[in-house]
Amino acid sequence: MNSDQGTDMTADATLRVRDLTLDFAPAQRLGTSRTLRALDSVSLNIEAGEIVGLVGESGSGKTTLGKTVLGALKPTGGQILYQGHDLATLPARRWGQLRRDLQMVFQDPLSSFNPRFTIESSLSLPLRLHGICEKRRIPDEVAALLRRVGLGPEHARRYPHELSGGQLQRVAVARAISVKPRIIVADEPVSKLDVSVRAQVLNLLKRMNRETGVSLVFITHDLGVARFLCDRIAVMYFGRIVEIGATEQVFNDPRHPYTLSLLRARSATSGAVATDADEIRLEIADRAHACNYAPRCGRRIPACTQQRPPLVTQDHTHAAACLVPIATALAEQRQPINPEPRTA
Amino acid sequence: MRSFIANKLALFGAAITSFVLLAVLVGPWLSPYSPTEADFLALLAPPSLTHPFGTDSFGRDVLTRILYGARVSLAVSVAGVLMAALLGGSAGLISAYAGGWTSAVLMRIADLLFSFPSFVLALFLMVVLGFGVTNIAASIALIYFPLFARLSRNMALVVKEEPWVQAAQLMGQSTFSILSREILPNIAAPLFVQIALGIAFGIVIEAGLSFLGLGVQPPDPSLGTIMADGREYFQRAPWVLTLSGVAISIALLGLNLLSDGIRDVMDPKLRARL
Amino acid sequence: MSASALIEVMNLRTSFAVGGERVEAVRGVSFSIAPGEVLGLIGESGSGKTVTGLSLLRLLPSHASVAADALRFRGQELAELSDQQFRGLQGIQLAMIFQDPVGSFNPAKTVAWHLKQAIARRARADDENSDWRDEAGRILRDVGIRVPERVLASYPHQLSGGMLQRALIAMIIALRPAFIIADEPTTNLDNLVERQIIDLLREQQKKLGASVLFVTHDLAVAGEICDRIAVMYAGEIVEIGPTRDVLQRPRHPYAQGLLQTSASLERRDEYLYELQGEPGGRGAAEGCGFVARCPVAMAMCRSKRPRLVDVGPGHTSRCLLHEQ
Repeated sequence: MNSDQGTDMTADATLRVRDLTLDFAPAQRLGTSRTLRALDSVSLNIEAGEIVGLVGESGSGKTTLGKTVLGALKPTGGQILYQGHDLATLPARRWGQLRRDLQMVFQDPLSSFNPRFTIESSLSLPLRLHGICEKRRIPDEVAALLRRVGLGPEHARRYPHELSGGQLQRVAVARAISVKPRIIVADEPVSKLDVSVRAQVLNLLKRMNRETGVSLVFITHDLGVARFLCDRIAVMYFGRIVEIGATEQVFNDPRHPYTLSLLRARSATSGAVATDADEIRLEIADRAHACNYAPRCGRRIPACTQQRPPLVTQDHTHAAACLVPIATALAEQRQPINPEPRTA
Repeated sequence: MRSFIANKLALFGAAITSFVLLAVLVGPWLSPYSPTEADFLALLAPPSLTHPFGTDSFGRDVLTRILYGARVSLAVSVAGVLMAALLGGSAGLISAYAGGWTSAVLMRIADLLFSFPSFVLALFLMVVLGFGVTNIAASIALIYFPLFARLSRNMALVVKEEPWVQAAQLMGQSTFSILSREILPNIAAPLFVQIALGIAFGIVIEAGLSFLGLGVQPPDPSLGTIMADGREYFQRAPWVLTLSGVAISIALLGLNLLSDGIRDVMDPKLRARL
Repeated sequence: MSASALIEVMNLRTSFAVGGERVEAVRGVSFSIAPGEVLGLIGESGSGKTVTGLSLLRLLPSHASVAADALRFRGQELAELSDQQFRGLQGIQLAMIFQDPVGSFNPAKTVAWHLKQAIARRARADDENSDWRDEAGRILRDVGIRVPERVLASYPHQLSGGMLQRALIAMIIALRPAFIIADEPTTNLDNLVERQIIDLLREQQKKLGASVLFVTHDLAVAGEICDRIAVMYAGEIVEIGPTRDVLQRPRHPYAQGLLQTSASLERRDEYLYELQGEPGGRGAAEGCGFVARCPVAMAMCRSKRPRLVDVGPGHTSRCLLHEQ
């Protein structure tokens, strides 16, 4: 079902998500007593050293997926396989060293640091906790970490509110890499920052990946940024991955209608986005067996409301969950073997 | 800190409280009299140079008795409130973080204690536990436990959702470390305000209990027993009741202004942060 | 300043009293907006763009002080109006769309109630007497809401961000103002909805013929809606001119830096072009406010404060380099 065929030579650092499902308890909103299915049988591999983008709008489940992979949220079903453990069911006390491997950079840098402690204190704690270096070398290590993210040692003495958003986010990256993780989940790390400093943080993340080989799961709604940073992109819609593939494939050759409308929205080609927020209440008998994009989709056929489209490989590493995927002329030229969309 | 000094009332409150503390700590040593030493030659003497607050029906120096009594009242109140803050604060903190079963049990206990009017609860506890200073402290602690538990739980519930707490969890910090380092310092301030207010009210409870004869026993002085005495012969020697009442009021005023000041200092800081 | 300008602002200065100090948020901003024109105001934290808009509409708290050489609407000096008189203009002639639509609605009242208020207010001003329900339905359909009845009966919390923003735009349209300040109206919205709202705003602005001050940090969005663009930094306008000129051939180092970053994003460089430093610093008392971050700063930039000079037709920029 997943188009990735990761080699097992790097099984050490590969994280495999299988059929991950997460339901939230019924919200107290009027009318609906249904549980909210934030993740709907999601499967994904995160290979060593790669940058994977989770792209989608609010409610797509991209943040939920990122947090669940780290163990911050408990899934309702499915597996998260890493180094021989299933993180989805691993009890907290058995995590031990695994905590070092999986780190996070949050969306709002200011609230991701305890306001009562200095930067020095916040950075020292993980070093002490995981015995990264000898106790007496900790101040040096903190200074080195700050240098690595482009900040001077004078910032160590300061409190979080004394730093700007961009600076604080760089400290957050420093904190994440201080324990030498294998995978960092970055949840919209630049969307709360001023535009003129976003480049600094984005470049930093890329550099960390290139220099240390740490994998990144980059959550964003900004396609342009995803294109710059990510090797692969997974497009999410209401808890499902609807398209996944190498960045350039997804951008140049989108197969899922939702991906196409996202791309068009970005490039000011209006008119193509003929969706109406009113009409999401399409009559779907059983949501589990239907495409969740169908209500807004201009390409839908009757079958779309009767079965959930599987994630089908379009070519090599590019897959889309659609019964009538977009086959562009370009795609047809390059891949004469796959002229028609495949149905399950 | 700067804004605290700028707040005149708070400063005034701090000054009064400090003065009271000083008087209570140092005063008894400076006094030439003992609080229980009777002088039958000077019964119910009005205020004079030798007895600034006069004497009571046993000829005991009223000022000395007030100073010793205040010491007792303060000590009992502080002990009780601090115990409540410690136990209640921890209970609330744990309840907020653990949730579920633990939380339910702790909060029901708090609710039970909270459902009694404070003074009635105090009376009940004194009857059950017996008279005496330690039991007064214990009953003050029980009265205030639910307040601190509720307060600390409500604040901790909010703080626990903050990203820095999640970051600490992801980093593998122990539960104890998260509670004591990440959550507690960020909920401490309002707790301190409550402690100051609690001490003030604790003094009133102690005085009330002693006044009724259920607290500190004669001849030991306490603000309450002095007032009880003073009430009996108010017509003949009004200064005893009046002055001991004024003494309590001053202490309470100081503590209340001080706690208002602490609270005001928090507020503008919060507003500035937004 | 053309005599036919709808809005004329000359040397606007706004400062706040904070803890005994005076913080200058807007340091001498001047611009004019012709009838039916959309002027973009681009900036980041500390640029003063939002405060500028709030200053114009007297929406600042009491510890703010606003001063200007001129603040004219249709030729009339606004500073001369009492609060009472100004309130008569607020909302009717001068309207504002806020970033977060939720705050503009009374959570205890339906959308119908809000629209009725707006329509009634306009009707009072124009001395008309129309059936508000018909008008409300018409306006909602105009903003792309296919089933107006359902939205009219809804409370604000029942609507999504995009729907609420449409309802807010509907309210504004009902008032038919001459001048609208839109403060980051699409920042909080999802990509697809943002696209729709941008298109909607463009369409409605043309229909109403209203002048708009479009405040945003997003160059791309500004590029689509605005006729002219003003770039703000540290409380001053550092560049102002026709949209195409400012976005494609900026002359001020800050605007150039922004452009270079988005260009390197488009080009998919290995690493993006970075502007050094942080925005939001207080404007320097002397010299150029951008000197700390400027890649081409000269020695005299620290001491001499640049003025706006012409760099093209209708295009000015504030940099000592232009004065060479």
